Amino acid sequence: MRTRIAVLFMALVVICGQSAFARQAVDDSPKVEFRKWDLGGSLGILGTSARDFGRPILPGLERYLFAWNVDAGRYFTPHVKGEVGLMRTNERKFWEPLPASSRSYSYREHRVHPTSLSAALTYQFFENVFAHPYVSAGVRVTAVSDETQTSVYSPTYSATSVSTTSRVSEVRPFVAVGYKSYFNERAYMKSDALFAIDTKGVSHGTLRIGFGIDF
Amino acid sequence: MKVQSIVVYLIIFFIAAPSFMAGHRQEPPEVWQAFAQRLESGAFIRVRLKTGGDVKGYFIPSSGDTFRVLPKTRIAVPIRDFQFSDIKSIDRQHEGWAPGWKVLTGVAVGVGTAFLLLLAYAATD
Repeated sequence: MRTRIAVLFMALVVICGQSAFARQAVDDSPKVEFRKWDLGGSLGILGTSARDFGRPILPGLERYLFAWNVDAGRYFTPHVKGEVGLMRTNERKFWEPLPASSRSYSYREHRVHPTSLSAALTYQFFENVFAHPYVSAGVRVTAVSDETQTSVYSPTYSATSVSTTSRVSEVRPFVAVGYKSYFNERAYMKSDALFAIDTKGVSHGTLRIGFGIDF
Repeated sequence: MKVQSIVVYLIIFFIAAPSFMAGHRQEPPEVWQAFAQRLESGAFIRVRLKTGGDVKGYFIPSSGDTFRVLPKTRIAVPIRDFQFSDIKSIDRQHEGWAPGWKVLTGVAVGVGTAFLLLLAYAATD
């Protein structure tokens, strides 16, 4: 089995290597002045484990949120780019049961609003072509605003509520892979997959697609 | 060795062999000179070089011993001249959409399909 995998891998390297080197040879063409900045926006789906974004208590709660992002990047070389991004998601809502007494039943409702700021270093493959795959690595800091409302039900079912707001921050390193597909010299579509990591593995991830422009 | 392994090796051979075979065939420069004379101005072509590189672009007629190509790049670059003796092959290519349009079309088809499936699902309820 291992031999077969090794042979398959070698065959793939041989087959892909030829086209990769051929493409590299095209880079002998004259150097051009690249635009140094890019700015884009994207929409996507964020999937999170129970360890991130407000830590839901009950099973079966929604684990997927819509996310919208704004990203700005600065090219240091035609391949290497520094990038910052802002991500917002829709509100996340979940309920936490509280210890019940014989005379009352209570639960706490959480309304979580995550906002993430990320910084990353990106390596973009190829030069001056219409499609650039890329890989990124960076850090995402998420500020989670958690509005809670605790309701206590007495035997007569009258409820009393107490509201509080707290903020927690989560810091996660991440890796991402994506594809920048250009329409023309400057305008592009960007699609990527991002995986944030904590000590137990992938803690959340996003799939995004959006538009941007180089300037 | 199991039959399955033999099949895997055969598949690898048949995938890899054509590119190796193609790599060994070399045509003389006169062939490409004659080919160039029959190309119309602005034809979209791919030029493979003996050095291993390749360039996709638009053919520009010239009277000399060079083959002129305006490379198709995102940011415009100057016309490139190639010696016929440096050319390994010239292929006429179909100029497709820019990748951005392809991705956008794919997304539109995906979203449209999902929307239609939702509509169909709602209609059956």
